[in-house]
Amino acid sequence: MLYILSFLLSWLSGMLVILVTAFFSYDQLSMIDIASFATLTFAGLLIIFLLMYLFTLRIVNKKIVGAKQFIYFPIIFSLLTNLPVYFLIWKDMGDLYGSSEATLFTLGFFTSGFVFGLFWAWKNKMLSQFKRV
Amino acid sequence: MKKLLVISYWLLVSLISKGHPGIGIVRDTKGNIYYTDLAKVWKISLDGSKTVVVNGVHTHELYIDEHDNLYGEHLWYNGESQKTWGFYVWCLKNTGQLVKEIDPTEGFRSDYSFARDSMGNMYWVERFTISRIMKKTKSGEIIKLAEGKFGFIGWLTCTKNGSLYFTENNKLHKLSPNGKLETLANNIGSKSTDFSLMGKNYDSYGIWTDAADNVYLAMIDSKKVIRVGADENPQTILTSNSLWTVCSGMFDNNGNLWVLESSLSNEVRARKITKEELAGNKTASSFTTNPHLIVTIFTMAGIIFLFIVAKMILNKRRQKLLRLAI
Repeated sequence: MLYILSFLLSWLSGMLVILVTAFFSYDQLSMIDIASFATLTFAGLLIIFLLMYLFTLRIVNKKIVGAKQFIYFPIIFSLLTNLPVYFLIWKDMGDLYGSSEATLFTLGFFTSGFVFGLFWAWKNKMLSQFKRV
Repeated sequence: MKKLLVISYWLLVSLISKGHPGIGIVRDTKGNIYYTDLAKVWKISLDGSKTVVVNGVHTHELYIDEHDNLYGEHLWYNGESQKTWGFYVWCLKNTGQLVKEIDPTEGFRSDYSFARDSMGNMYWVERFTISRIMKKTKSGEIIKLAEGKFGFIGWLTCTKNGSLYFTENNKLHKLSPNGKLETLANNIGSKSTDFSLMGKNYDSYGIWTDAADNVYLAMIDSKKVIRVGADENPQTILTSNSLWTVCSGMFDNNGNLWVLESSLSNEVRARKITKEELAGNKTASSFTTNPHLIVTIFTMAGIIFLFIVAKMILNKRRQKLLRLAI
């Protein structure tokens, strides 16, 4: 259940950043725009969640403990685990879509990774003291 | 799972495939619209129905003459073994008969163009270190209209009287029938010029005019259409959806704008923007007048809701662990 919640929370956070950034820096998005961004970020995040996030989470949960998780988890998930996505986004930028969309996608995935890392650090902190008891 | 695989496949294909969109969109005297999707030529009839009129042709441009004869080309690559290109020019006669104007030939068109005036004169650009703007009269005579060390010259459009409009990097030029070359606007670019074709970074793509000789430019990267009028001041008149970008356009007999749009996955569509919509410009509007705000609020609410649910679940687990500990 927590895996699904963390996925949805990360995705919605990414979408929120896309929506807010688009409004302030680019333009207002139409319903088609929003649906397209939502579908693409959802599908992309689902793939990377299944292929990378869960795998990385299993490793970092063992390697990093304590308060350090709040620093390292967001960094690892937003930067390292998302690397394939960033590569795909920027590889074809210009030919397939403009820099504005690429920036929005990048920000969205960055936020998703960041929130995912924070969520699991928070979850571990919430339960760690009771697990010790 | 199947759906997920289909979405993933589509996502990968869209990211891998490359695009060089067409600009061919024309109308006949009856008001039917024709456009290219780089594989077929479509006709949108007055009743809105869509049919394929020419199949299996890779043409970026279209031209229709005063007798409603439609012209285009078919361009192909002969493969890595030969490393050559080939083309032929076709004409769909107003009788419905499809004929070849130029037989299959190796290379690219050199003295034949789809940018024509009402007299049938053809115009094209020879892009070299010294670029030339050329004209071929109906009798076959080829004339050099202008020559110079230009930057990258984009697509060319021609009005009925033979005035030519074209972009050179960030500038918009007009070449009058009397040979006078003038710069209409010096800064047509938008904030980004990342779109790269043929090694040249530029934003403006399709170019067309209206009855009052205002010039319209499809800014392919910033996904908008700008108009340069008599005041020579570029004005944004339309913005496109994030996954669709306007590549070209033209006006119909009623003053409605038809835009040719290309999508992220290289799909092509023609969309009508009524003159009323154009008059009520979409560039500036309030945050509260469109779905953007509603979706943003719902997204925020969704995040808060999920956070509360997660906290409830974790609290339950804590209580369970506490009970176990006791």
